[in-house]
Amino acid sequence: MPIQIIAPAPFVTADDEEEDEGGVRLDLDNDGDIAMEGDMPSHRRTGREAGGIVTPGEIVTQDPQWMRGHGTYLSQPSFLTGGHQSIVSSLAGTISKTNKLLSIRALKFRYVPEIGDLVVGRILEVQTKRWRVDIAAPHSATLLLSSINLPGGILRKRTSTDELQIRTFFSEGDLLVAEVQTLSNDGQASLHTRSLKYGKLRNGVFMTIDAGMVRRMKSHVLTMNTSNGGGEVDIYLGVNGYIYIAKHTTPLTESGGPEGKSVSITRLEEEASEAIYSNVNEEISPETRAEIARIACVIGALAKNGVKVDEEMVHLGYEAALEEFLQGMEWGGDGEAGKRVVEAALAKRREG
Amino acid sequence: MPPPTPLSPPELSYLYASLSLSPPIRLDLRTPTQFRPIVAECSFLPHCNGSARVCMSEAGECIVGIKAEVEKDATTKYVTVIEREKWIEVSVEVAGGGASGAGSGVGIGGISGAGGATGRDEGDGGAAVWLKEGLLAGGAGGWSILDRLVISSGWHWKLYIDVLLLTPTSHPSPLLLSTAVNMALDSTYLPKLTSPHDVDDIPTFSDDWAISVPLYEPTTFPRPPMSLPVVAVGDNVFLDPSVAEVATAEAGLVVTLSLSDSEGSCDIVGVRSMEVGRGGGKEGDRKGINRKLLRQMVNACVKEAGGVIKGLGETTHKQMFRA
Amino acid sequence: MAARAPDRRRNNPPSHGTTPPVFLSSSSEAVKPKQPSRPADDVRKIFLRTGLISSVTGSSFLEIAPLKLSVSVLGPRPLPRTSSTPFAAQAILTTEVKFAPFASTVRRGYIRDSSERDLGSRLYQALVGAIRRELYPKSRIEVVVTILDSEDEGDDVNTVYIEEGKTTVETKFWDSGRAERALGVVLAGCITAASAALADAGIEMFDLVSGGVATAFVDEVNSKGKGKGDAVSNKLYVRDPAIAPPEGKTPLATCVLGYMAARDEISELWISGKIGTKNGTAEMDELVDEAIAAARSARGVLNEAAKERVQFIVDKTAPAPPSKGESTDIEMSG
Repeated sequence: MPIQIIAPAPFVTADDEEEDEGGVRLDLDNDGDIAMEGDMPSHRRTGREAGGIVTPGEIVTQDPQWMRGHGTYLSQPSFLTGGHQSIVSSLAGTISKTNKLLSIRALKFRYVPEIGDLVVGRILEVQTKRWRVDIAAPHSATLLLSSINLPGGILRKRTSTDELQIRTFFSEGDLLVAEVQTLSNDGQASLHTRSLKYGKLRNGVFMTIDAGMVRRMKSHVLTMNTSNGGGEVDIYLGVNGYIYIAKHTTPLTESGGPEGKSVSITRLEEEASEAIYSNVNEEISPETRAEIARIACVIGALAKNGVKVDEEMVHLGYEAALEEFLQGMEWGGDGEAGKRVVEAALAKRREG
Repeated sequence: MPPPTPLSPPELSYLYASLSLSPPIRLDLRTPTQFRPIVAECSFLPHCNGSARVCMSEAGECIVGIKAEVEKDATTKYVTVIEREKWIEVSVEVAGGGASGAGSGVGIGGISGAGGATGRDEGDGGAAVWLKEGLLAGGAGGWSILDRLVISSGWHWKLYIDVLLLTPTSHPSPLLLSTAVNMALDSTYLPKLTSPHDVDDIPTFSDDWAISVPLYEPTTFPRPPMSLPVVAVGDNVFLDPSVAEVATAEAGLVVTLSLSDSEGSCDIVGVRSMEVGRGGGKEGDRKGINRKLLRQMVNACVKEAGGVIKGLGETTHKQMFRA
Repeated sequence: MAARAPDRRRNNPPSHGTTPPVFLSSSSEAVKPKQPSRPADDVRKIFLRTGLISSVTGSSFLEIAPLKLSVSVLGPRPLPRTSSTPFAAQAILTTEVKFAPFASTVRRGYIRDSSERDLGSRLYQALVGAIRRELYPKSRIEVVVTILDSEDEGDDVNTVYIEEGKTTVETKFWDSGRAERALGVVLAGCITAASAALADAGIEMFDLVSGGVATAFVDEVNSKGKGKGDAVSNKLYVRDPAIAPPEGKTPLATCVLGYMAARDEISELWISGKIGTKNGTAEMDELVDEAIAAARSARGVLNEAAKERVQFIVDKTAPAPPSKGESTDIEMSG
């Protein structure tokens, strides 16, 4: 059958999984309603473990040693809380503790930019001196014309000609990798690409996953050696959940241009910058394309199965995918393939 | 109307090159004729004569409810074709009324939605027209679904097919809509008539659902029709194209087919061109479909459609009689 | 154009139209479809002229027997400069097809209904590939088709006769493909006329698109007596079909397409009806080939219409009437 039709899976709660099939849930009373754990939230357990699930309005702790972080607020002492000040959750999510800081991670959240984040974005709009960039955040980010590398060297002054030719650098729909430079009061990010690491993205494919599924790492640009003659592949894991997977290109600053011809030091910046804004892909072999697609599938499967994406998991997942499907042209229509690959990858992580 | 955020030129050329390779490399590692898995269930709305819910990974989720109402023929003696075609009403609504907003990816890939700046109205109007066209055309040997809707002289069923897209999009995926409507129709049952056929009086029906009459007899013919989107990139033909593939494609068709026998051979009941992104529209590129490519695209659909329709029918049947 | 609120300045008649009067004499032979008097592979005469409306960039008028329609092309003109308008690297094409309220037997409202919107998007599909849109960034090209008269599905031969008190439907003149044939002829006309208007507007195109329509019929006997293998051989393909089917034939499928003859490419395809796949796509190919043949005939008219206007202007604006020798020189070099 060319098409796979799956009946919808019944909703499984965490409780169902923990208990035996015949078990009676303790928190169900005779009517089948969820038993109230007392009428007041103060009766609930305090000092919850990290990883515990809380809902908005639920008291996380009354212990004064903790500091409140994201997703929590301080409630004033009242008779309900027995005169103690308490930290109350304002999100539905899991508790995370960093030293003495308590914060709640929502299960699903939009990306909130932070200074220094590496993000992948797509140009939404070209304005007179800047671009509006979609980075999956509540507000679109801005990229000022003055925050990019201009052809002719980093130190060149911005001129009115550049303003007129703004579309020659980035146009609507273009993808770029950038760093969050500043944040305004309302949380709007301003990006910059003033490094040869950043700039326009080429030679690859773009995909999105939920922002929370990318683990923050030291470096968000991975270079992977692929099998089947795929060569090296760069993975830009944007903190915002936007991911770009491309054929590895030698940084232009290293001894000469991409073709290996030597470029004089004085012309180096110019050569580099002009290539930066090119819209033409390099020659990419079918083998590389296949491996890029495989990596994209692995990352998609990881995110779909609730496994955070980081360097280790991408590597393990890729290895697992290679073992599962050597040529890898048949897993696309197989709904379970992703799950098998992720499980194999997780098993590898436990072993190693 | 261009999609809200088009793909960038390097992306398009990368995709175009990958898809026109031989063999082509699809980004999700499918073979050209492979479909993405879908999640589907039917007959779950108690207030409807037939219903279906279909989820697809990219196209989102949609619910179809089919309600049948008893209606008196508009004219007593003569039923014009126009009147008869009003017996089926198809509407496509987007829940929440939102077209795709910023950052939700490319919005291209609908069946029509072309006609200009009107956005939602246009796209959905087109989808409804096309879905209905397939229904009216479908059937073997002069069979028409309209004949099944005749109750008695002067009375007929009026069938409301309401498609609700739960995922906001301005260009609904033809496969999603078609699958959902197919399953919903297949699970539609009408109350059994208890009054005689040839009497002009108000008809009466049995309230026992156990003896209700299926609109499409299960496991026999004809079956509800099914529309398959197909796009072409270079010399390659792809079934069930993803959004990015539609944006890259040079030509696209939606082929509507209905099963003609139990071996799974199909009749074509409709072909429509589909709006595609044309891979960036470079000069000298293909601007339409030549006859060879047309043959190739339709053939790909014809080959796979039997299995798809049969598979859907079996799933529906299984779910209907499980309860 | 967005679907506007109902027009309140006019006294609107009922929006659903009125039922056409049906006159039926006691003899059941009173209703007889008109017989097409031309061979199946012949198309009706096409009248096509451009540049009739002076206030728009390009225009054309087309007449094929009862069908009359006019096309206006506006633009390329700049997109409105609002913050909500996205940047367009290519010209944005909009198409609109509207039946005049009096164009069909059943009156149509001023607001476009779903079939008109559908025709609009079909026309868009036919034209969009042919126009060199990348030459007109940040601009808009509008194609507006007004159908003044049409042979439509509301014709009186179109009624189904039901014996009083019986449910038997007299299906002799009833066939489901009628609406498709009617709309198909309209759409093919729209495509041809719109191409002429675009050429008249001086908009650069890769090729002219001409519309063609063909219907496959089978003998009525064969369609009833199923299982006969020779049904294929009895197929009759009619180019540019009339509303009424030929005597003793039932329609199988109708194919409408937009065809670029110089490139041998189909820009728009719309097949409706039932086509068997016993021999792969052979049956569909035959139908498509017939429609292409019809489109080729229309292309001849289209070429002449496009040239005629240019010739007219050239002759008129020539500073002095050129001598015979000179004019032949120009023709030779062109």
